[in-house]
Amino acid sequence: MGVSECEDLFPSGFSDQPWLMQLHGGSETQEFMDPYNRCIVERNIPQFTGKLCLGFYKNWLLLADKLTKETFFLHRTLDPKLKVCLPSLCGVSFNFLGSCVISSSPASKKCVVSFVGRRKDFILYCRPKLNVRWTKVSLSIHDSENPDDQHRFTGQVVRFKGKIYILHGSLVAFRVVVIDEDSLLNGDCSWTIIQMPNRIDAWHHLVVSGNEMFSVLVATSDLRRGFPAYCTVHRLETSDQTWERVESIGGCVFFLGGIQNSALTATQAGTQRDCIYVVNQNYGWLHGEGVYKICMQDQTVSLSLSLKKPIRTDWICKLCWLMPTKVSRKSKRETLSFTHSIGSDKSDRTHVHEKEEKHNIDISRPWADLPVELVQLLLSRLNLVDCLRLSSICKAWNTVSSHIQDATAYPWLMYSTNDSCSWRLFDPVYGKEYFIDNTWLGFGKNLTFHYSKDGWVLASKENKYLFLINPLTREFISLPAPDFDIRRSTAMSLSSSPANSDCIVFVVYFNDLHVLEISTWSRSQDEWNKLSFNNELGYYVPCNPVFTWGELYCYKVNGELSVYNPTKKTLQTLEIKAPIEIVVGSDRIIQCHFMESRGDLITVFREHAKDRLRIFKLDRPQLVWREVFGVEDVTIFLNNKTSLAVSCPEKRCRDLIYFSGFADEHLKSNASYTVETNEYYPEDCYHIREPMNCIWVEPRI
Amino acid sequence: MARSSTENMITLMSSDGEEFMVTEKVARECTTIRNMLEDDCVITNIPLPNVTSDILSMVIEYCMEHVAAAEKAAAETAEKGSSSAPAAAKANKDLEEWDKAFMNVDVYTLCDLILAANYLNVSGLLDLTIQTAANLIKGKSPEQIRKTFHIQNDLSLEEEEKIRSQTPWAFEKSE
Repeated sequence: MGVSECEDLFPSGFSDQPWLMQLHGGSETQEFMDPYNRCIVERNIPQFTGKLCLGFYKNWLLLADKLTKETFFLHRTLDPKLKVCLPSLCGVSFNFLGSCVISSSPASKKCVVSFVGRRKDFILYCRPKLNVRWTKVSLSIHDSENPDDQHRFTGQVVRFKGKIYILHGSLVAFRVVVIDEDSLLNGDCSWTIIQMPNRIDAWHHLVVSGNEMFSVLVATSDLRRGFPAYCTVHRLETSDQTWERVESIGGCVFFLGGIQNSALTATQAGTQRDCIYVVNQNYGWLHGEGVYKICMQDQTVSLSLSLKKPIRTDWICKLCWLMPTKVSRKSKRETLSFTHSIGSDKSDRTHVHEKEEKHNIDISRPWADLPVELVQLLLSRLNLVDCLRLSSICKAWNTVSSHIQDATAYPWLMYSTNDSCSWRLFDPVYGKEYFIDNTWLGFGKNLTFHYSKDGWVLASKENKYLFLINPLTREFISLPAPDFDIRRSTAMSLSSSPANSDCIVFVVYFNDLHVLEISTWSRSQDEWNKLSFNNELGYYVPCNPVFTWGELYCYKVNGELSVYNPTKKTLQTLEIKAPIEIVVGSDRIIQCHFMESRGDLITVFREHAKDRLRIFKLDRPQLVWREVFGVEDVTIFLNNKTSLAVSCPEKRCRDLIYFSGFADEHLKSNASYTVETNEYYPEDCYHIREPMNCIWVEPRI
Repeated sequence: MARSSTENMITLMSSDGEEFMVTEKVARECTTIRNMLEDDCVITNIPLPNVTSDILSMVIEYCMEHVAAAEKAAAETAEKGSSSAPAAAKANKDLEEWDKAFMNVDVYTLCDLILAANYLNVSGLLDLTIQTAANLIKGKSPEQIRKTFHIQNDLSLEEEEKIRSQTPWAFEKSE
């Protein structure tokens, strides 16, 4: 039987859930990737040999022979009788051919297949059952308001309510060109333009889900290429063609970044609701490559699938998301009850002044009369939060409240979620989570965190405003309007606590290989001070620079340090051999962190998910990076924006390195690494969920 | 724990008039007493008006135990030339266990012990008692802390609200 044979050819479970398929157009095997179970299966399906996948309509795959350009639909059963031929794409370069939209089942006479150009504005369409050749319509699309722009079709297209929506983009902005399908077939190729939400560094995706169309922007952090650091979803309001931002996609799941974007309900997809799976399309260096899962609800990202080899930069070998053909019987592989947990959080947050319990009050009140110096001694043994609570016990104990600022507190991970009238700060050492109200700020939502020092966070809003904020004390310092693009400037740093009058804010641009630009601001300045330095060829690792010994240290891939002296306004290069050779442009996945600990400069490297973390300390007199095999009484908190090394808090976290990702689905413990035993927790990096926008903050009040 | 008969004995007198005979070595564990002895070497009877007999007996018990442990360790070192690390570690652990059992007291006694340790300046005991009290506070809500230590909330609602409102997040109920 044909059906069972085909079941054997495809990986098991192929029709039950979404898979990513990659055909290479050659004689090599085809790859099938399971984003749920994180496996990559290679298969050799004869019908796919030499073919490329150009699109799909439900169970029909649109395939083309890479050489002969013979084009046809093939049903997923691979039954040779279920094949619908299209005119040959002979004469069409696959490199300029974008995705296609298919109006209805290829078995129907009404079926229309319309390709859009890529980097060229044209549409190529045919009715497979009726036409013997493709019709090519070249378009000259311009925006009357903005005639000089350089927009071109990006190759992305969706079909929505009888209209074709084509993503039209330039280097800096995207919009949507809308063409009516019926009119097109009648030779009328008039178009309209819808502006769309933009972000210069984002991947833009259009996806249709039921009766609605969405645009999804996913941006990575410059500090960690490939790893989504920002994601917004907008819904198209069809009545007035405007986009409305939505915080949630409800019970849906989006599958983006393949040749065709798809949406399913969570039940159909057999996974958690309100999630977006996206294929990383960034071909930068020092990147992680793979499929990421973004959870809209708590704004976290986890690696869903790490690809063994880089995605072929060949446009035509693009990955293709294939949707399940039947409703998953194994429903909810990753069951999560988010609504529940969020709901209960909310109720926790509302402060209820509890009715004071009348317990046996001792008239001699020995504890309340404990001498102040002994209460202070007690404070010294407690963490910040316990100290704050202690100070609210009674009048006598409240007298020590001025000493609380000395209380020990180890870094907390600050991040925001979608229901954000508060930031979340998670204390990994004591496993406690705090909700810090941000309504006082007025615009606390959707901030981007860049750097932190001494309890202060350097943050930006909408690429326009840059400011310093202490989330616990509600102190706020506005910085002058930036004369640079915040999103494009890759690194920021602070010299000291912004509470100090001599604190300097550094913004460093690594983008140009030969020029290093440093903008600085200190409290006495009204505007930014920009300096440019010729910088002999050198890539910088994507982590924020570190200020120590009165100078700013930027770490280069080759191990060298560029040292900026803000007093002398000089840039000097310390020539040091690289601790780990990083080949620029290689596909090795390297994470690098750079920090200061008690005056020492420390770098931490991790090549692959399971590799041993390697820690190097700068031997300053000898100018050599020396590997260290233990961190003694220091606990390290790693993050691409700010890594911290602090004197060991508790015995149980001695020798530990905390990551900014969470080890569990409920975000109640951080992933970590034990230096002595080289053990990762959790063992499987796929279980790590990382808030897209997070930073370690040392709590200071 | 044989002691030479030549060792000086000191009499400590509690606030309620009870007398405790201890060796000078044990008495010297209390820095306050050591200072007195160093100032006036002929003193043999020390009144301690701030410490009740119940508490003083406990302080002495603590000091005796720690002096004995130190003597034992010193004797072993003398015997073998150097102390063996595992044996020292075991002795330390035993002493820690003893401390832990010793701290199995009610909060009133704990409070008196803190005051006595502070007054007599027994650093080890002060450390131990303060840490024990801190452990009783850790992770508790203000209400729970008051209950644990039998403290009456003498702050007015407004005062308490003011304190809490500065860092409201620290007072949210944790699950």
